[in-house]
Amino acid sequence: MLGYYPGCTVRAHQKDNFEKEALAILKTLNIPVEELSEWECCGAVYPLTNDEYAPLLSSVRALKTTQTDKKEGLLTLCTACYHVLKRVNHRMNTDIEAKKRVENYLKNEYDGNTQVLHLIEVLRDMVGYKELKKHVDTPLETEKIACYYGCLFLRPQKELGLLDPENPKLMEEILEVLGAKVINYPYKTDCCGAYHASNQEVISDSASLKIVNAAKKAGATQMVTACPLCKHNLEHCQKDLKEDQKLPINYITVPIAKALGV
Amino acid sequence: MRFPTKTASTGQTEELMDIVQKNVKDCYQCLKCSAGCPLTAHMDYYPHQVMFLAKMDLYHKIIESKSLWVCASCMACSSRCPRDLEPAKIMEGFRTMLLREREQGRVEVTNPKGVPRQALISSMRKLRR
Repeated sequence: MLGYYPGCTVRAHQKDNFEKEALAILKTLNIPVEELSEWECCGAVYPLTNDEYAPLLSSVRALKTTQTDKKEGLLTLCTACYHVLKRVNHRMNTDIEAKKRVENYLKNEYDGNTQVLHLIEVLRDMVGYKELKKHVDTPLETEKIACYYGCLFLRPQKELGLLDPENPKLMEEILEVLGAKVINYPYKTDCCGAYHASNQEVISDSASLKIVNAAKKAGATQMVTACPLCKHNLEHCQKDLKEDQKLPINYITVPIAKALGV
Repeated sequence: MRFPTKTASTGQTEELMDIVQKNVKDCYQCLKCSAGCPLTAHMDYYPHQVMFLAKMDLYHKIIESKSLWVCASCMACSSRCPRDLEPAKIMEGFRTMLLREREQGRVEVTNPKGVPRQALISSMRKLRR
């Protein structure tokens, strides 16, 4: 049984159906998942400073709750949460001082053994492509999908290690199993501008527009991503275009749910 | 070539070293960081220039720059540095030094309502405190 960690933004944006579709997909593929008994926002950024330990606390609490809830791993949907939780886990395993200080504050020991998994990692490792293909109801014939990974899913490779940081292929492999045609385009690993959406919008708009234009030029009919902030930035940069010129941005669960008939 | 005489004090260099724990003097200006940075169009000092100024102890120029507040910590520079110096970490070190001293960065949150909450949380943590 995996412990499900929604993340503050995915849970707040219920209307987008990211959470609903992801849980329905896992149920169809017979992966048992249950929400953690208690969780809070992971912090949204991994603190790069080496001398402060307070920003690590909420993530360590989530990792510890996975163990006390007796779950085999922590499943997350948002790539930013994946980045933060996995890096904090790595820090707890490698930095003795951070581990001691956090344990002292929380008055609780954490041995660093929780596994942090992302939805597409579960589809590759726990389900497998053969099993996934068996469940395909309606192959996605007409879609030309561009996959956007963003920055936090891939880097730093030593700590995250799920995908190749310069040429990742996991989302493409899953979509090809489901029958879609995937488009290769530049900038799929470039940052969308992230948190500048709330203060210096011109930065995030220009960074995201570069990505969207590259995908459109390569012939994509839709773009998929796994982070709510990336989706917001990629949609917001197109707000001044006419409706038929906009590239639809969807979560990765949308084509998967469509193909599996969920 | 004449260097300006105002360089960082020992206290400042030690503070930066405490926060980042990287030896900036190892940078040999290969420029891979600036080549990979997606937001250089909005910066006044590119990442490799910030590293050079840090190496020369010219902290007052970095502190007055816009680049610290444009960086989105996407780690593209850090993943490419051949000496593992993590320019993103150095930028965060300078931001932290400023925020701890002045308690508020130079960035205002102009759009609190229309964005996903993770944007607000991350920009508050990185740029304001």
